[in-house]
Amino acid sequence: MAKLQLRNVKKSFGNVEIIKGVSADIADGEFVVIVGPSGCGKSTLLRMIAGLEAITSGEILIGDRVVNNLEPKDRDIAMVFQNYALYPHMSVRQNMAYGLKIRGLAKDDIETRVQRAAKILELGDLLARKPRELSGGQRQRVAMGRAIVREPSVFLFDEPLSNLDAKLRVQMRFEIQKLHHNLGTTSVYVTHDQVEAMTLAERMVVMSAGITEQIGSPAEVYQRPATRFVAGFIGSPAMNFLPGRADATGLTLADGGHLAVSVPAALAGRELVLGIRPEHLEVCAPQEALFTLQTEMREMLGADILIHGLFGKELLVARLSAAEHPAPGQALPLRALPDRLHWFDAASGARLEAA
Amino acid sequence: MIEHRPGFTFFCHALLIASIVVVAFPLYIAFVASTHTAGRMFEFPLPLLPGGEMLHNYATVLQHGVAGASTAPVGRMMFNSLVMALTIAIGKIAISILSAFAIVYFRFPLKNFFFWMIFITLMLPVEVRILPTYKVVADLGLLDTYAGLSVPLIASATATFLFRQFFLTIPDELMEAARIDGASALRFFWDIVLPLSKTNMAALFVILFIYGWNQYLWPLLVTTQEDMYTVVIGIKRMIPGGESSVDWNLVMATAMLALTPPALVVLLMQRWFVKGLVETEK
Repeated sequence: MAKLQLRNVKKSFGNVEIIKGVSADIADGEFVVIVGPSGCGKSTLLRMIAGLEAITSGEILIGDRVVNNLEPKDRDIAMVFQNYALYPHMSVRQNMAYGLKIRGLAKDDIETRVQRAAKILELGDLLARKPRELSGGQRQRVAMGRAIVREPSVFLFDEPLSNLDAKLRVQMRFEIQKLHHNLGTTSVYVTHDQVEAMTLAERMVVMSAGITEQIGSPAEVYQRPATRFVAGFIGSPAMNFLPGRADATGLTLADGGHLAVSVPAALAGRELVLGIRPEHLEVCAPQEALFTLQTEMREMLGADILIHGLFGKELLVARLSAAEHPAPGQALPLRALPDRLHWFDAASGARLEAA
Repeated sequence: MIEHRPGFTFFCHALLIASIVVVAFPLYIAFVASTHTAGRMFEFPLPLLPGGEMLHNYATVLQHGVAGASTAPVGRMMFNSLVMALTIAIGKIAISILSAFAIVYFRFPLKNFFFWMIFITLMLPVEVRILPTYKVVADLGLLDTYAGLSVPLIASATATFLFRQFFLTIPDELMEAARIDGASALRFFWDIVLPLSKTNMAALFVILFIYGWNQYLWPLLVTTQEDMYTVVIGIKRMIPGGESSVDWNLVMATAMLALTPPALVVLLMQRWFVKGLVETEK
């Protein structure tokens, strides 16, 4: 086990800079999820930690050792791939034992480790099978078993659940959590799925276009998104954004609409973006309303209902209890608690604190 | 297409049976001819049922060859053909799988140049380079040797190309997983790539064995001694031109013997072909 440090890590393919300087400290035993949209460089970053991609500049440290120029096998890591990358012609046992065999461990030792991993992952009955005789979830477990038997300092997961169906994904998410709880190995987990990120992470790194937008616990990232990008990326449905100019009476939108919201004094006169999460909107009396939503469409989710509607020209979403069901065309007065409002700078997208 | 018209089924079967007869009948005639005496072959009509000389004819050609024709015993020539075909098939597979591995998994200067050079030679038939090749083999003193028979035919663009295409379908993650597991390049080749290529190798072996076995022009050039002839040349040699009579029964016996090994290879390897088609999962 070891801590993992990234120091201003950059990666370019030719003239294109894919990773534009990422720094992060991952503590010993921590479970960190790197999350971001496709093409943000999260997988590349993980592959650089694994040693499968060269590092253009910066340093990666595992333990206290700079591993920039070490081969993957010498970095004391194990990786779980999205498509599992099991050796198709080897049995489950051989798949798990292969790395150990190369390292020259004694046969008994290998068998003990494989048995232990098989027990943890409940693969005991499947050891003699070939990967093609396994279901998706079982293959995924074998891939994790292959990582476990190496007893590495750091586990790397590259979107390991994205090839599974929704139900299995929930189950495997739970198993990964359990596994981390039992083994306590430092883990870096890459995903584009924010639900996975929120549920698994002790801390998450939100990336976009090669930079880290925010590093923090899931609760921090959700409650106090550092940038407009993070605010829009984390949370489903996405946060509502209302760009406008702040003044003493509230926020004047570009299309002329006006929001009677108490803008913090420090922000008066600036071009701002107001962010409100759909789930923080609630129906209220017309005189208390922040704004009135012209209902366009409803989506029933079961416990909740999503109301899509217009405020001026802005398309907004509110997540209300299913008891509310305004008819399309109906005007819906909505409000949100002042401490649930997020302010972002219109130009930079950075979070602005009210205080 | 699933059709249930009796007339159509009948037509299909008739067509298939006719095709089989067209292919198999000459083979059958050759077999029948190989079981009669030489004299019977000049009587009219030609026999359509096997005669009683089969064992005698086959024993004669295998041990002594054909009297009057300047060839070694067919047994010896079969052995020559076998050595040549096996060396060519195995050599081609070994060289081309290694060069395909290099081209797919390594980055080196002029990689694409080399690949295209190999690819372009695909278009050159053996006959185009046969004179310079002959000169090289002759200067190396390899005439009338097994090396001279087989080595010049080993380099193969086709097999390299086929293996390259197959390697490109192996997911990169497999190589990366092996790297993380600590496998060196050759270890990865030996433990992962080679076992995955088994069915491809088997299929290629069948094709290349038959290719090697059927070589005619090249063995004709590089062999001058009778005991280095291959069986394909031997058959031709047994049919002298001009006035002398031909022992057709013995020639046909040789022909039957000559086509046995390729047929056996196809029959025995057929299971691998099917396996190769079924096991596509990587």
